[in-house]
Amino acid sequence: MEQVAEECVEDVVRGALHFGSGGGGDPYLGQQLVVAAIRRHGPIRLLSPETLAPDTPVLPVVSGGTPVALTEKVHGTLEARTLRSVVEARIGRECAAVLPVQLGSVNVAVALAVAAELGLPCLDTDLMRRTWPSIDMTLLRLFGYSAAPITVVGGAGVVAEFSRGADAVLGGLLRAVMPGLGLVALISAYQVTAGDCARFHAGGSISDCARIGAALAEVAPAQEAGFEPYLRACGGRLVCSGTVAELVQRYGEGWPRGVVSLRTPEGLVRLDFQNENLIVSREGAVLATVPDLIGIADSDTGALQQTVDLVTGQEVRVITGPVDHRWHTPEGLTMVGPRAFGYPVDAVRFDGAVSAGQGRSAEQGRSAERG
Amino acid sequence: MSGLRVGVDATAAVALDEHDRIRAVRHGDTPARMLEQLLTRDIEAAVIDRVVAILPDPEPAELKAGARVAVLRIGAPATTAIPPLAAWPARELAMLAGPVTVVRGGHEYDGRVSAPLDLAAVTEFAHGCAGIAGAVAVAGVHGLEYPEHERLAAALLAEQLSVPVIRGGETEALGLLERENTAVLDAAMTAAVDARIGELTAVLSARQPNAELFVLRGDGTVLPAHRARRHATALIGAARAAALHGAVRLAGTASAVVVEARSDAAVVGRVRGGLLPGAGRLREIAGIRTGVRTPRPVVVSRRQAGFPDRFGAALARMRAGHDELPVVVLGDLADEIAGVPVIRPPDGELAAVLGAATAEAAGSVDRIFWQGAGDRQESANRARRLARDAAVRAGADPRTLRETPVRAALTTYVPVPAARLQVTAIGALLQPAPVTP
Repeated sequence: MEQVAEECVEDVVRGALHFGSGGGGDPYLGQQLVVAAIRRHGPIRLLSPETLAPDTPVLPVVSGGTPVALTEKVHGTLEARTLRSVVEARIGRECAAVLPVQLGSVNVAVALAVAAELGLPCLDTDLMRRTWPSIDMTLLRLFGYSAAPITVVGGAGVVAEFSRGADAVLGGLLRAVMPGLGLVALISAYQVTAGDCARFHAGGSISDCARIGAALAEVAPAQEAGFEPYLRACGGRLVCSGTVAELVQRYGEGWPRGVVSLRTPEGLVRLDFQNENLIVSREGAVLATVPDLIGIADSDTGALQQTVDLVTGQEVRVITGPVDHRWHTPEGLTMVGPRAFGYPVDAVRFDGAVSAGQGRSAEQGRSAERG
Repeated sequence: MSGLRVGVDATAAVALDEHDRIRAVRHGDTPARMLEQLLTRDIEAAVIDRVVAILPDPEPAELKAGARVAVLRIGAPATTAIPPLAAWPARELAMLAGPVTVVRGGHEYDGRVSAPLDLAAVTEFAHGCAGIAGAVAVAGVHGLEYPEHERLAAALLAEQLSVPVIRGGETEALGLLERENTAVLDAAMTAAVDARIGELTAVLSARQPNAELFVLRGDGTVLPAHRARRHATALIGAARAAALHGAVRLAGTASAVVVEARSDAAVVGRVRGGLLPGAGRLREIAGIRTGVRTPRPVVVSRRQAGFPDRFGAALARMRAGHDELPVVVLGDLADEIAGVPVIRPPDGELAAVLGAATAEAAGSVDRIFWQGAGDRQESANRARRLARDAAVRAGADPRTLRETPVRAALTTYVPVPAARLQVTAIGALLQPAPVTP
């Protein structure tokens, strides 16, 4: 894919929702954001990091905050320019492209819109290969890069920087300043070159979104078999179909913990979520967990849902899909496995197999599922 | 002694007495003429308490003929990445768009003022709209919980322009774009709704000047006519909702699964305590997302293959977890429904107008509540009060209100003491009382 023009925005944003795994924000806002940007500035060029000189600096971009706040107060156009000038002043060079930090319907859209606003191409890659809730949960970080320096630009011209420190602490500090900024900010982090991006082969992110989004549009939602185009495109599987019986969230340490209960023909299915879906289990048997993707599609429309927006009585289908294999290494699981989110269970792959980084055989995982 | 209640749509007009018995029916004319005939020939001397009208859904042509809408958004310097109407479908944009601006102002989620409202810019915008815009839509950031800026700007615009000014905050929906889009579409269609309401008002003021006129919403509850003119998008789908409510009334129950068989499709829905369960979706009009929630009825087309199977699946899903509810069937649908005990009420063809004549009034709240200032119970109570107030403004008798449980969704990604709370209150319409001199 060489550019994002208005006619492919819906596919890109719809596909990005897949990588949101039940979170990552509402696709309508993302679609509106990119369409508005393209109408002002023209189609957005996509670049593979390999096409740039390895030492070329790029501008990582992510929208921080809470999705409902963004639906009220979407970014202004000024924030993108402020963010760029602050980062470029710090590194003393110009950035040649925008680098999406994460895939998700808001953050793919924000990166594309920022690229359009700045007249820069957008790299067809990203740092997470899905949505994670904290800026320190990236593949770069997995390979030893620090998230610092982090630059935060708020709507009213506020600029804050976190220059150095332990990444998890910086992630927490970042969340701590968000209320003061009205829960909406444009953020850059990591010092990254095109060569760094090329080295980690996380390429094709936006193209993947477009491809999966196009497949999602082909879904005939009334029957399970109708999801075949989507499952083929994302390499995932359909876990179950059911009715939302209950959705509860409770305040706790850190992020609110939520549970969705689904009535299915095979019994009660439980979905644990915080910002994204984390664990899907049936009658106590874990079917799949983070780091793999767990999505919920509406059975009437086929559209993937934000988990917090589910309503009781809604008919849904649960779909699990694979994620970048590096999240399944022991280091990857330490960062984003179920235990990293506070759940005392081992990681289970989207297809029920035990995650490679777990050090147990796949057979054990399958028998656990049958139990 | 209470008077009669009348329901009217494009196909029939019906008058009910206080025991919901049919006193008169009229068919085969325009709504205004059917109403006129009903009032003059059928029930002459009887007193009419109210008329509830189901207006036809707006046609695309009406949108085209509708007003040029000027849009004032309050939120700069934020929100400019998506200016008003900027990403609308090109056709609707060309039909409706008048002058558009984003002025400084708006609030944060916790009530802080993001920027003072730029009154000079509002005034200047009003000057630029004069003679061009047929209606104005105004929407502000966090304008539901903190409506001051929206109200101020709307008042200023109304002072300087003699056209309808619709505020985003008049629609209870999360999302600035959703409220703004709704206000724009409502503003564009105000005149069309006015014309339809006007025909009925003319009949009533001549024949039954004391009768109240209500219009049915897409969820099957009412709005007083003078408020309905500002909510054209909320009226869409009223006929289908009315048929579901009417079927339940005809079956003499308050809750049921309803199947409405038509020649081209079967509609499967559920009514529970006067409410249609929501689908968790917002209504889109020509690809434009509004802030109006859509009810869940499933439409099973007869034109595609495998109708009996698809219908059976839809019915099974609607009944899942509600086995105790009776199934009410309108129309002819014998084979596909075998094995399920059903109620087939008489007068099924009048279900929609009966649903209108017996409709209730509801009010909903769906917004972000800042809970930092008080405790969570307090904000839940406030949400309930707001929903009850909205139901009363829609015409409900406060003594009859029932409520749904308050639903809370906590903020993700950045945990703060704020939550999206949703609750609906519903009740019977307030009866007119004798006034002693």
